[in-house]
Amino acid sequence: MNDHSDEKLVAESRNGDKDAYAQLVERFYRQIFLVSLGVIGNVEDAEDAAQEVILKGFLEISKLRNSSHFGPWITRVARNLCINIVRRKQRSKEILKEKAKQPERKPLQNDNLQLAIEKLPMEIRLPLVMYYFDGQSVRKVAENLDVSTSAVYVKLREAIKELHRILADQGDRNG
Amino acid sequence: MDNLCRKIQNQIPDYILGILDEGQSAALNEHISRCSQCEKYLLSLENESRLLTQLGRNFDNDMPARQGRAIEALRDSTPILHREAFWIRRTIMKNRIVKLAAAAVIIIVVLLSISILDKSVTPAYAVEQTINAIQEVKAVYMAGEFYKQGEFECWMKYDGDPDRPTHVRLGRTGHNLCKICSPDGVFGLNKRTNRVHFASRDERDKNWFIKFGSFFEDAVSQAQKTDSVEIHTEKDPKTDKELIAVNIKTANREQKFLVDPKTKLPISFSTVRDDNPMEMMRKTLAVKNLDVIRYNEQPPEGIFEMSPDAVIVEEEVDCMVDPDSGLIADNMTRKEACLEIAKQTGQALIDLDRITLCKLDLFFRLWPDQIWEQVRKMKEDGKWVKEVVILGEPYQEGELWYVPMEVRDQTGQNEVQNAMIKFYEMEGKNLCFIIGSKEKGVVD
Repeated sequence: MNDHSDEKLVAESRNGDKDAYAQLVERFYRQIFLVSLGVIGNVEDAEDAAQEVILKGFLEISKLRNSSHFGPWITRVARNLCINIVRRKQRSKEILKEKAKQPERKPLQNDNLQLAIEKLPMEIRLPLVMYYFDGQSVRKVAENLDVSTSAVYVKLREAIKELHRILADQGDRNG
Repeated sequence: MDNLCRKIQNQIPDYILGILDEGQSAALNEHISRCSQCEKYLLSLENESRLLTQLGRNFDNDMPARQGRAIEALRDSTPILHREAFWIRRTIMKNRIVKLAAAAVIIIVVLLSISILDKSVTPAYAVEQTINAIQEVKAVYMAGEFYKQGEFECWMKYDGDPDRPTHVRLGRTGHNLCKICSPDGVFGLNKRTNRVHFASRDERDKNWFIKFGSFFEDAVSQAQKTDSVEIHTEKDPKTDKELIAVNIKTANREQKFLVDPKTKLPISFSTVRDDNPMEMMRKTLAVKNLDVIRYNEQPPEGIFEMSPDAVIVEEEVDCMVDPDSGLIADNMTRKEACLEIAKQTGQALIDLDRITLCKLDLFFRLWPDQIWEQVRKMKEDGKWVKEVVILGEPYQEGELWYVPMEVRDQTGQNEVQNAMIKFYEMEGKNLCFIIGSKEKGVVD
């Protein structure tokens, strides 16, 4: 069963076969989650968004033109859905309200780095997350984001510098 | 921190990413060996890079559990697939009682229409009837011509206020770009590349769409101040149907609405005479003609949405490019490509070759026909560009490239500009476009 090609699983998913779709999810979940994390920045919200992406993918799989391109397609669905989540949040200023409600978190191990990643602007966070958490290939990041490799380098350079600045700032504040 | 340290610290991220050449790496290492501040910066960035890789591994450890939760959520979900929705519709229509009810509704609508049509000699008409009828419109489709941007097509949907649509799709005929407004946001869509650019804020108060609710009223009230509104009946040459013609004359122009006597809604709009078109050209979207206006039709499915796999781009200019234009830069270095696009654009400018200019330089795509007419006349009168000189080597800043150029015209005027060039990888091709200039910024 696991030997089925993406095309076959896509065809079965189009007929409403959840088992077939679940196999596609197993193949691409990591990518979906990392893109969600790159756009949203927060691990818990990224996991929720990834679940939403998976359901949306199942609903909209009839719109996938080339069934051998499920991977790039679902990655793009993930990116778009997460950008919409972020935009919706920004528009309704939910972020501010949520932050006001949330008690200050105590930094745990690795937490400083995660908090710093969360503070990065989305435009540079996504390439950084995809590069460092998904194989460190600039070409692959460029393909996934549909931008040139030079554009990825520019953003990575900026993200590395900005992350350092945020971490240094956090370090100063934590004494 | 001196200039050298600043330069080295700027290069350190590239060093970490492994994209410095041997010479640059050696120079950086040499500097680091005698500068503790830069060494500290390098060590911090290297350490952060390691921590990022480690964090990625930690995420991988948690991935199976996350994936399991996602699949569980999928299995628990009961989404209605398109196929199922279709099946539900089919089942409903198979039901005899539902079928009979639907047929009865159709018969009543037809009978009503006939009785209205029977009395169809144009009744008394007042412009207020049209103004009021427009307020009730739920959706409109228009095809016509703007003074400045040329022919266009537009769909709009309303929820009570026809000056503030909830949904708009506006595109120029023959162009790949269209602008869409929906409760999800306002975005530009390139139909060719499936690229989408979201406006940074809700622009529904801006002038990029037609204020349909007040379009007729404004035209009429403008005329009543100074001149006249003349109403008569005339036959539609296409259908032979009797229509109400509302002629609005002002000092500078004469406009005509043709109104359906039954619905009182305008079905076309035309500018019969215009003595001062430049006044209208200055407005963002001044409508010259509306050849087709249809009401309350269901817009084609999905036209106000982006496809789920659209490519969202950050810069508006990235939505304007497409793989059918630009300069193909395969087998060229970036510098060679910059020189080539600058050379070809310069020659096209001298020749006033509109196709090449629009293909290579996005700025020229914004020129309306009237501007092309004006510059064609300037060329005929010997006042156009005679020479474009490349003043120096192309240079890079961030991901953009620049070529210093001087444009010299036949009247002795010179203008120096640094052409701004951006590279794209699309459909397996490397392309570059002139997207603006350092002096005037990015085209948008």
